[in-house]
Amino acid sequence: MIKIEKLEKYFTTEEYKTIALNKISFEVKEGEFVSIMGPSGSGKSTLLNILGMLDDANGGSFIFNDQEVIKYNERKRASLRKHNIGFVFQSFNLIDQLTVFENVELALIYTGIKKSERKEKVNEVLKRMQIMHRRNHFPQQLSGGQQQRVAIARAVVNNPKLILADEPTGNLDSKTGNEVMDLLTELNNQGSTIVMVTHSEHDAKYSNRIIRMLDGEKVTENMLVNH
Amino acid sequence: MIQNYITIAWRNIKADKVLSFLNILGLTSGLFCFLLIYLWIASENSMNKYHANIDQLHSIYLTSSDGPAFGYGTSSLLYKELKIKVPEIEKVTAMSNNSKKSTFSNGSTVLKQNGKFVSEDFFEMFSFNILEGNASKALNAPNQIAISKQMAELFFGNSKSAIGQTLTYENSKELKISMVFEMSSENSTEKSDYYLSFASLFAENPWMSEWKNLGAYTFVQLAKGTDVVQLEQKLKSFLIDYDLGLEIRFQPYADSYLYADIVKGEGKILYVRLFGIIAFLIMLIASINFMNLASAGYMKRAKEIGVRKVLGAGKSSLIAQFLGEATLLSLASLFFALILIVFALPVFNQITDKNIDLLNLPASIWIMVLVITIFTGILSGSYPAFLLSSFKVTDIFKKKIETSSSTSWIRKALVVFQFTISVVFISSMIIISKQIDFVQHKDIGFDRENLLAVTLSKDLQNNYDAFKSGAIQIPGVTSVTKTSHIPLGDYGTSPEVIWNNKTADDDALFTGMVASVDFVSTYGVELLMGRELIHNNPGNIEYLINETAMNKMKMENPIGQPLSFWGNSGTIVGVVKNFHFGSLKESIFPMIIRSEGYSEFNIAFVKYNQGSEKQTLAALESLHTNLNPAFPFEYRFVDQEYNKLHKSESMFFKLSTFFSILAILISCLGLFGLVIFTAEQKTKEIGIRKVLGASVYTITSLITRDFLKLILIGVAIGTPISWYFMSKWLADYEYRIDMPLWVFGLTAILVIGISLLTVSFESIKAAIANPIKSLRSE
Repeated sequence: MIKIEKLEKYFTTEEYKTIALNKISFEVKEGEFVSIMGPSGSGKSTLLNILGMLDDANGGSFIFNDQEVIKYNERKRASLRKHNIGFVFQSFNLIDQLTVFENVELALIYTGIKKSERKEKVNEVLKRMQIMHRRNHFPQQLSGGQQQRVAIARAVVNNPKLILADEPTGNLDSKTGNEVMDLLTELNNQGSTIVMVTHSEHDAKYSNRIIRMLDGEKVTENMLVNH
Repeated sequence: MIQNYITIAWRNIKADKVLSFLNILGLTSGLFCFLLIYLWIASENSMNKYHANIDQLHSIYLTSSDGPAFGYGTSSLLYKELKIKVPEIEKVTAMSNNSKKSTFSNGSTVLKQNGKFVSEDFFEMFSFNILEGNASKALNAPNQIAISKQMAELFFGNSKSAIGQTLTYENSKELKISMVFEMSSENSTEKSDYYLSFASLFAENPWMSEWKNLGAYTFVQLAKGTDVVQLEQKLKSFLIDYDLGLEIRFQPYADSYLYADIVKGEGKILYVRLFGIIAFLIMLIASINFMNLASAGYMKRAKEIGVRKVLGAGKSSLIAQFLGEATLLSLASLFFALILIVFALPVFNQITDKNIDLLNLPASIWIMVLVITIFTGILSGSYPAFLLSSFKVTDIFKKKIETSSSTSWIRKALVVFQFTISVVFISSMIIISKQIDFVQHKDIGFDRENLLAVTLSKDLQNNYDAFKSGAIQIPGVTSVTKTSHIPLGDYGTSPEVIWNNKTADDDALFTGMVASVDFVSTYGVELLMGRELIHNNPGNIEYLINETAMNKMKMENPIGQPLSFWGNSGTIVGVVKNFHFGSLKESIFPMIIRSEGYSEFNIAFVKYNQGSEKQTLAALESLHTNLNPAFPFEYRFVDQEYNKLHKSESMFFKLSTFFSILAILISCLGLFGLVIFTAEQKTKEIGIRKVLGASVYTITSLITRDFLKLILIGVAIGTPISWYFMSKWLADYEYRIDMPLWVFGLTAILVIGISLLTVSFESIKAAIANPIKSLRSE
């Protein structure tokens, strides 16, 4: 599904050039659950942003679903993104002025799905995430775990091929964190491909494979056989 | 999608009530001003343009050969000659204003009415609703009158019963009502209660048959497609045949209202332009306000933008969303502005002497209002929309944009611009008020205080001596005189003056007035040489001249010298110090005051002691009723008439004061919003500084300092701009104040003071907040 080769990303200021990704290469197959780990500043979030087509790379190759997307402009990337990728963030990133239902619905609005169909799909995913009873509440009225469930609902409502999760349990207590990880595992079992950035060894164990990074480079890559 | 936009726009308005309120208030105030001025300009622009033949109608004015314009005055004989000799002229009418209100009576109803004398083509050239009678025959027989619907209702109850009836004119003549008309538009300068035949006026006034007497107006209707420039060329020497070295020019009648000052080629258009600029600037200030407040407010919505982008929103859909929100807000502001206008219109109409009615506006104006509002929304929303949609998602989630200062210079420039305009407005307003005050209190050379002008109706003109001896006996009255007209405003000019040693090529123009005994003492003019008028004997004509006339005639000792004005020979008995008889915009013209003259000697002047106004008026009224029972008592205060000469300035001052106050208020609203925004942005910095021991004062000045810089730059730019424009405005006055430098100092203090108050409120609030809270929220 994803194949990156010698991917490069650097940030320049007037005096410094900081290398965030140093010719990194790896592959993610359909249906995999991959964790990316590494200390702060190792480039894992930058990598996730590029995989999510929120940011562009400075060099190398990025093949997504057999298409070379490295040179795509923002419009093309946005189009690819909205149909194929769902995002889960550490800080949930729900829009405070929209209800649970409306937050999830937003993902469908941009793909141009009709209202009646949207309603059906949103209700279905909210049921699946067990937050149907909170559909008319605003994010600030929910607990952290509930907010992350809404965020996950939003990420999957479009049936994306790929889910990208950036420290999904970072803002949650361990019990709620485990619930969220169970949810992601369940989605993976149902066929979703997941790439997750995490600091937590505990969370990483939920995945099939761990890629460890340091200073923008891939250091190791382990398959988790016990999973 | 649109529903989602509206939902989120509405919830954001509710979520940030202060910012939304400031935003809508600013835009409402701006739109309110703009629309008010727009309605006024639309009304001014539509003046006199409703006539069906407007493209063919022209006013005639005369110029010296290739020289400056003389004025609209033409010979009373011109219209007939033009009709006979110039085929391009389809229709032509002469017009003479009746200089005073005339008395009409029918049975016990006695009323004074305003009217004009016009010739036969008049009603076929200009558009009226003819309610009764026939336009082409209305004034073609002697002793006929066309009256307005209002006048018909006053005398006869309705138009139908008025037609064919007779009215007594000036207690001496029976006139048959041949026509009843109604104005076909309110936007007209042609507002007369009645029209009388010009031919009969001509027959009764032999002096009108002089070609050199330029006392009538002439209007023509040109054949369609006539080239005006060619026609003027063709008529270049037309008046030479009548021994008049002047040339005929045509001014489109549609322009005669806005460009009435034909000498300068301007007129009310100056105010239209000026107010147009003011309206535009106020709208700009309000839009900038919106831009600043909205872009500051939208920063809080960075997360929303990020999420939308992640979910696939393109740049264009985000721009559309924010432009849409701004347009919705401006439409809401339009709604509030219209409510304000409904309440403000009566006062505004009174100040501007207009009759604007929101319910009677043409559809085109409403469409323009809507277009302007939507345009304002789009203009105001454009900066935040483009700014926000250009953010990178990765920057948003890293909270990089919140601390970025790369775009803040635009906001700073906008604030500077707002304050520049505010400074220009405020200092100009103070200077205009000083000039108006100067004009209203200037010693104009005659004492206009405590001076009453009483209209002498027909019978009283022949019985003036009785009136004078009765009036002088009223306690409080100090002197009485009579003159041909109130010496304020419009004058005819004439070169028909002969004096000793006048050279053949001397074509100096003089203005004339006829006065009576006690003129100098009643008017309070200063006598420089000679004496007051003491004779009213047509066989022994006395002349007073002003200083300018004396200099024009190059006389060193004019007393006792012979002088002839329009063929009336007499002797100069005195020289008076120059006094103003027009607007202070004009210099003083050479003036000749002659004793005795025409029968049109219709105004008596009564000078009374300060404080005796009430009893003087009561006593004069009873005296008037005794001597002249058929006519109502009519009087005016000369000082009020004088102030009317500067009515436009006065109106301009009142409105510009209002707009200046609003401009600074709107600017401060924007500033207030920005301070809230800055304080929020600097929460972390303030927290850290407080933890490290900074005092409330240090932190307040940290925020205030940045804004103060911007305001000072605004003052620095605005001051010279204001100086430049006000110097130009003052230069238009022959008599004016020196540019008051202190005004700029005062403006700076005012603007800085008001802004500091605005800024410090929020800064102190930020400075005294608990740092633990702010740091924890980070």
